[in-house]
Amino acid sequence: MKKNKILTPPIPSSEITPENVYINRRQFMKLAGTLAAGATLAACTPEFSLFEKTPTPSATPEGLTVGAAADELGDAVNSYEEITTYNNFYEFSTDKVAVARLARDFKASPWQVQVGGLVNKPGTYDAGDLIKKYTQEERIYRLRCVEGWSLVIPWQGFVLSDLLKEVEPQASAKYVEFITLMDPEQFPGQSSPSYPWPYSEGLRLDEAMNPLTILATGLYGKPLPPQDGAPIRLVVPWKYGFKSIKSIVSINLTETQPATLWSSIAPQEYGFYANVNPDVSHPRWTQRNERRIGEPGRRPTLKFNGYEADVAALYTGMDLNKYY
Amino acid sequence: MTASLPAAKNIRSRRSSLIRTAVVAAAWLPALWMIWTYFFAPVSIDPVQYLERFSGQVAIIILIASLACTPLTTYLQFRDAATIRKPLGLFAFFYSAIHFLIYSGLDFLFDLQYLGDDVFTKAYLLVGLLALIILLPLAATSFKPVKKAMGRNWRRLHSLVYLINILVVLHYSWAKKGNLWTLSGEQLFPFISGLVVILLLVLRLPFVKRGFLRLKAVLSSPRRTESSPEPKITACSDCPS
Repeated sequence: MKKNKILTPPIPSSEITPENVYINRRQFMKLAGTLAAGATLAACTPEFSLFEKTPTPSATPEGLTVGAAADELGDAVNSYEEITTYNNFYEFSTDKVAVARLARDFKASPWQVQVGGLVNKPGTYDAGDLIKKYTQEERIYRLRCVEGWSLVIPWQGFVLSDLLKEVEPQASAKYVEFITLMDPEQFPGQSSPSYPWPYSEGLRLDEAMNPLTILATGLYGKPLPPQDGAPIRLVVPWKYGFKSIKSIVSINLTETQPATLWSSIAPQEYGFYANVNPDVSHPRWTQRNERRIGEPGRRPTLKFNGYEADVAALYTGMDLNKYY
Repeated sequence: MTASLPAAKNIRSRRSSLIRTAVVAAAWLPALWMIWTYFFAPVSIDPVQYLERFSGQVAIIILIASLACTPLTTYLQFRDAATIRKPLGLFAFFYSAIHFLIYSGLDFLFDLQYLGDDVFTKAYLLVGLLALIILLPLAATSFKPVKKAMGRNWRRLHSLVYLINILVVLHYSWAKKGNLWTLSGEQLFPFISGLVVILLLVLRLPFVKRGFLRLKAVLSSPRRTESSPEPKITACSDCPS
């Protein structure tokens, strides 16, 4: 049976976003988000999950809101249950399903985020104040895990550049470093010697200032649950999920490229950039395809996770095989 | 040494077949669990990944258990282990085949383009597939009439199980995140299974066996050599007078 060689599987025409909507997708999302602000979507029914069991009522808060049923490519948003019961958060457990249970009593408040390094106005911010200070908007982003699965997630958050502009990075600042809370009592997994805790990540300054980069504080219109990185986390949708560091306590502007947890464990496997790229394999695994949670089979992985138009300019002239 | 009195032999072979039945029954449980969890009680929102990992873990545990049978007999005189070696080996093949079918069928829906992309470019998939391919003739020749017909060649063929164990440990380790040399990431369990496999292989080396049996003979011998000292005589309620 001959197979059509197109890389993107054809979608029914009913699912194709109208061109003007696609091009103005950010405006569209903002408008949809505003319209949906008052509306309630009963997200309890797991339309996109594979099984009949519904989540226990206490697990799904009432009043979940989402601005659209799909991302800008027309792919369905995953359910609240899917997003909150399947988490790579080794600070709690390496078992993706156990994380939600272990994170139940996590204290996400009070929470301070220290912003400093090479900035003119360093400071310590209360997480709650950050939410009030900056316009929170909904961003429906794909999250692609390096393991080869992905979700479509309706985050609430604000652009990182808002915060960075406020603290005024100095001319010598070239990178932004992020650090997670270090507290083995809250994070039982941090007692494991297999990882050099605390979790740390970093971005180049221009990546951090990109309009897609957000600090997320909510999900489906509700505050982030602990298993998803409460109270505040980074979301960089064109990179593998491990770059989107959770439960941030520290943001520092630096001159040299900061160390990251995964690249310090296996530098030849986990790079600093970690851009989603089907043409650049992990040394041991391919990255050409992925499983979208809720869908059978596999789908092709898109360059920059489908955000090429927004971020490709950051990497012109850069050898993406060398800077993986 | 136990003499083979008819009564003793009956008891021993009855115990063997009881153990064998218990092991076979237990070895079916993971398969029942997989069916149950997939259709009725999924553990996570990604049941395919769960089944992939679970079936692989069951396969590797049973495979290593089958490798442990002969040393158990040799070193601990646990003769019942010899009778469960074959069923364990067959179950190892069974779960490995299921593991491969879940990966290629349930995960990839037998899409040859995607599978070809992955399997023929990545070492961990290649060694996994190779292990399964080698396991196939071993499973096929497990049965008494075939074993008899093959004579000496049967043992030669089945010694490939050592290679299979090594390939499977590599497959396991390379599939997981982290750095084996620093035991960081998720490499602890692959490392431990590697150690166990190495141990079970070392125990098979002729000079190790000989040394062990010699040591055992010396320790259990009632006579003492002139060079070793007389044991101290202490009060002992159990000692024969």
